[in-house]
Amino acid sequence: MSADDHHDHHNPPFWQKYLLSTDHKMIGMQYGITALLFLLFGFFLMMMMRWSIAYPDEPVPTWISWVFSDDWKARWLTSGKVEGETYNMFGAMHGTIMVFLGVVPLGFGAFGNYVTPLQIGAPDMAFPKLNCASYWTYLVGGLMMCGSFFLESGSAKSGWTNYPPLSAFADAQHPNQFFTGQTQWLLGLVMLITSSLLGSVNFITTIINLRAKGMTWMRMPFFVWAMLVTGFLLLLAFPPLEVAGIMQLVDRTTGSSFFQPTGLYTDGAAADYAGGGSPLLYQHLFWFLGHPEVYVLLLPSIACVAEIIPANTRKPLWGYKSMVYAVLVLGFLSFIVWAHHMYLTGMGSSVSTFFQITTVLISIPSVVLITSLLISLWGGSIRFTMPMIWACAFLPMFGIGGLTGLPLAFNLVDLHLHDTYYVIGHFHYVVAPGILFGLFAGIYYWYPKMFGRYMNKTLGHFHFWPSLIFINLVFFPMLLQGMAGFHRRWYNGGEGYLPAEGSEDVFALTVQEWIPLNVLMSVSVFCLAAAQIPFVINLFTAWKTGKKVENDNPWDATTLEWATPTPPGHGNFTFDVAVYRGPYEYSRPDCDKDFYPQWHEPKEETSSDLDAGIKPDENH
Amino acid sequence: MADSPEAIKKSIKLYFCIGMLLFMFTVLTVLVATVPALDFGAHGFDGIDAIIGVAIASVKAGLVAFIFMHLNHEKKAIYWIFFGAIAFAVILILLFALSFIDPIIFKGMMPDRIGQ
Amino acid sequence: MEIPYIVNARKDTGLNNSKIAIWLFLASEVMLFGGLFSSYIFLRIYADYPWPERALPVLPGLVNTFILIASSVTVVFAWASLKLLQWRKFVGYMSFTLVCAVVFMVLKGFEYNAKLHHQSIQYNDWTSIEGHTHYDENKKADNYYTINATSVAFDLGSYYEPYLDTIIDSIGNSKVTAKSSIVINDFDGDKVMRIPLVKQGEGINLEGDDEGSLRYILELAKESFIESRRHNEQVRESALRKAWANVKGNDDFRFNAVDELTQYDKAKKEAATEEAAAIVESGVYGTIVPNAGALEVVVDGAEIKITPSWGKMSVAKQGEKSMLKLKDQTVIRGIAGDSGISIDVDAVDHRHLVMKARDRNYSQEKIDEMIEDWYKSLGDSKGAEKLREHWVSHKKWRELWATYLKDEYGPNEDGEPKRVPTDVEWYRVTWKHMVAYEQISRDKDIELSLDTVKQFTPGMVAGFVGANHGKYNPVGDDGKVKESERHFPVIHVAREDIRFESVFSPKMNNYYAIYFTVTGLHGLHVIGGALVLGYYLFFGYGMYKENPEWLANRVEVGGLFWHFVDLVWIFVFPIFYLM
Repeated sequence: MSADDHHDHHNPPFWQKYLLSTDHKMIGMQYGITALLFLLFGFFLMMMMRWSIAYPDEPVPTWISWVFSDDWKARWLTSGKVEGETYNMFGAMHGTIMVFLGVVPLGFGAFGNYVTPLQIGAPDMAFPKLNCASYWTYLVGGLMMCGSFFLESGSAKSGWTNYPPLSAFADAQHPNQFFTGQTQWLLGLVMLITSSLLGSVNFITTIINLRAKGMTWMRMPFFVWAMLVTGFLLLLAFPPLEVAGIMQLVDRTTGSSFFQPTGLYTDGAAADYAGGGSPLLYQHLFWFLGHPEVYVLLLPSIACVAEIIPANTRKPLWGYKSMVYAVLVLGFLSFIVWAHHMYLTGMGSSVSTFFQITTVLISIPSVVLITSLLISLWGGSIRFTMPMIWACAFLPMFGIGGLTGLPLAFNLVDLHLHDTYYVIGHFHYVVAPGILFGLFAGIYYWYPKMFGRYMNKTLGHFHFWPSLIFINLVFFPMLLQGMAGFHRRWYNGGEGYLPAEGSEDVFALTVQEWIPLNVLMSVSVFCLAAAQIPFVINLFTAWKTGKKVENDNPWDATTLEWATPTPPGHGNFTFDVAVYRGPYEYSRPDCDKDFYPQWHEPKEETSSDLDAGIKPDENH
Repeated sequence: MADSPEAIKKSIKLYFCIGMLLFMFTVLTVLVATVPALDFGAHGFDGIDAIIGVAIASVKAGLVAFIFMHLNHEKKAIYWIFFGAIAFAVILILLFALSFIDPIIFKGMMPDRIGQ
Repeated sequence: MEIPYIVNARKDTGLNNSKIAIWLFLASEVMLFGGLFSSYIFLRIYADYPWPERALPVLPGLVNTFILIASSVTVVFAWASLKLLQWRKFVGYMSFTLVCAVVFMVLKGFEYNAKLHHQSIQYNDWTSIEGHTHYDENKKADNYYTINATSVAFDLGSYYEPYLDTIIDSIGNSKVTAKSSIVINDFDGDKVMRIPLVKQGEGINLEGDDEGSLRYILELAKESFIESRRHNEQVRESALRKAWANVKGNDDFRFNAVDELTQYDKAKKEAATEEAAAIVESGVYGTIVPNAGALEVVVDGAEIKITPSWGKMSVAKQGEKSMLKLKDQTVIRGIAGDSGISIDVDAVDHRHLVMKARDRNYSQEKIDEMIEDWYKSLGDSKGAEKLREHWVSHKKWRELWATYLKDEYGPNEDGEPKRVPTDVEWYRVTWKHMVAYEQISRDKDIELSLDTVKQFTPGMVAGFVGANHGKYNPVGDDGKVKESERHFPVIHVAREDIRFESVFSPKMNNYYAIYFTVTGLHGLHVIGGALVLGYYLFFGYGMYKENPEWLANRVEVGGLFWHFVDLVWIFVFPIFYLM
């Protein structure tokens, strides 16, 4: 690729530049903005749910419910309250949106798309048009799912895991099965899977074939490794879920019974099914994706943190190689742990034992990753920049998430904790203060590269500290409630289980003891929502008013994305990229600056010569 | 892979032979399943018949994969990708099939009822 | 900007981009079909019903296997021709491949068509019969819930137009009157006007959708219902808000965190609920207006026929009082008509009954007795008589067959016969058996023996896609089966005797469900592959002129996909057709 390849002087029309763009950076930003909007929507649904849990008998306050039309409220919010069915709708869609439409597209779609080609020195993804198609299938799938809120049937209501036979009977009373929330959910899911497959094929091909000269496997930044593994997880784990989705679609449209056992009754009569199927089959297919999906969520986030920590401690990533091997092992093991979600299904005990062992095994690579990151801090000269603060918060938060998962790995303990708020607390610790904090760190870190301006630090602090405090106040009480036996699907927060006057029912008394925590959690959620306002303001105002970056490498980092102009033009690099060393060469004694970028030619040179290779393009 | 015209002409013959071989295996698998004299194991379909059928199919699939799809001289990366996927697919099949061995509470898939 | 390695391979990996991509894609396809096959195995080994093993006609599957293998060969030939720069040969081979794809799909279509016109009925005692249902003048299978309606109630929130049309068509010219007066609410801001539409007992016009017609009234009533619902919920909501404000206000409520966190005040909630009810009653926020959810009309006994999948019938026995509840919550009341199914039986299967009986540890005598009971319960129609005859023949044949196997293969070390007839042979009278028994019974000179049965059993070709009703139940000029040549006896099954009925669609059981899913997905792959290869054939010449290597690469990639489709079929064929 020659130096002037990226001067595309013609100005493409709006739709081509912003909507049907094939540039990986624009697609990354499309993914990012869409995913953030979906996250916001998912958060909103969750606020409705939390209101219902804490104040089940009060109408939803107007500052939350103003978005709904009167007809919709009349149908779904009886007397202005969130009823069970509506709660299920919000619950199912909250999970689906957060996992499939929010975090994965943000981590893999947005960061992966934007950063990966830059970090390996590629001009673009291997298949730019496929990349564009991937985004649009994702968007259409997401809108199909969310659009089902406006259908007569409402949206899907069977939880984000969509377990049959509940999901098999959901919306079955509607004559036109196509326009039901459940069917739309499945179709949307098939679209999302297609999008992920297109994306992952593209990512892996790009990483294998489009690495710059000298970018050997062991010189790839950890971020790229994580994306490679994530790509494989998506590629190989999603098809079985697609099978499950298709089979359930067949069940719904043709009346077959893949997942319905013999002898089900509905409406007081035998259901019109042949039977002979098994819900366990669905759970197998679902969790074969479901568990790798956890790592699809996690790896992009941990990858962001792994980039931010070396740049802000000014020392190499501790144990880069062991981290690479750990992430590969993690990728492999994540395919054979899925059934720890299914201990209570009546699966054979030998199989349970097998999965218990692999589940405990997979904590080893996870611990290697998190420990390496932790040790990377040791002895570093830490700069508490905005991304670094988030990254530092990621470590303990993800730690709590991981450690609370250990008891769930054990069959016996899981018998008690299964389907309680403990599980909710555990995986929300992983995903919200863990993964999302890592992704926030990434946003603050790469924002200067995307727009040439830093995000505002004061607003950043107003975002960070309340978020950190309130998110813990939301999720820690869940662990306590869970151990007390609170079930995760109580739409009224356990009100129905309160003891009668003078009752000595132990369970009811326990519920009575722990139920006040609902208020604490719900109030914290509303405060947490308020804490996101500075971020939204920051995101949009820093674009125009933020402090401008001094040069193309504002964080003095070593990886290739900082060798591009700011923001990078079409084709990314303005010179012939070549890589001469590993990704994290910080504070080398033989180098007069405390960082030695990958693209600097190794020669006897003065420090001013060092920058010669990375002059920003004047014509840009 | 072989790119010279001579090599390709030679491989065309190979492809033809493999095609014929595939036809023969197909006929064989039908015979094994339908002709009583070739019925191994107990009378009718049983585990042995399943193993034989899948084995013949695997040989055929191997021929297609290695000759037609050129896996016999492919790059390392392709082997990792494809055989990795096959390994996971086998894991999937095995663990699914084993789900109910050594059951905790399992008597048939559901309590059975005779409707009379 | 140019993406590198589009045509030429990268040195260190030795691969170009599309080569990697197609193999990655195939890897995910491996997982897709891996998921399907593991589902198949799971469903099969844990099935609690007799798995229909070796149930598909082999010949179409076999022919399709040949076709796919041939197309796989020609697709590599096409690629090699491109490598050798022989464009015309490429066109020839590629065209042949596409023709193969088309023939494959056409054969698939025949197979599907035969399945979807083949009916299975499971009796309440788990015995199954299979065959062809009769078709009405609209070419629709004669399989309906029939009810002589006395009243129909439509749910205003959810009535469904196509159902409504069917009901109106069925009622036809009968007289329909309003069950009670119909009054709707008209909202003008907060003011509500009550507008009478129809008086009790007044006739309602069924035709069209003009004023006074049923469709018109329903539409108005639905609109009014939704409006009223909205109004009522608003009233309730604001009353509840007011009540909560009062309750909190009375307690001097200022978000007392400590108080909220330490006790859960049930009394407060109850007070609010009560107060809200009181406020609603007092009408402070407007009044609740009636919003009747259903509209009921009286019908004078017109016969309404409803497709079974549309709803449920409470009592199916002819002449009894019954109620049909459709999915859209429409309720039809009346006297049940004849909802039975007439079917030309081409197979009787007792295996499910036997399986259930064995689960309950019934003795063999009891099982045999249960089967005989079923035959007795069929009544004394001509068809039933024929089925009993066939069962007698079948019992004779299976004894002969068991003896033959015992003599041919001898006993094992325990003295038991090494080979015994399978359950299929023992308890299922197949269509081929029926044809043979029928032919034998027609000729007094022929004795039933293994040889004669074999002699009269139709071959593979006669039953290309299954029971051949065209040949063995030929239809005369009057559109009816010629009784003199009938091989498949007709019986009429009353609806109340049916546990479950379905055509051989995915609904019938999980075997057909997974069969349709796997072959359907495979068929989609065939179509997709054919489209890609067709694109290279019809639009590839430009690419070829520009750089033959480029097209060759693309055809190789498309070919890889095509081979994979073939590879999947190589497993599908034995697993579904031969096992």
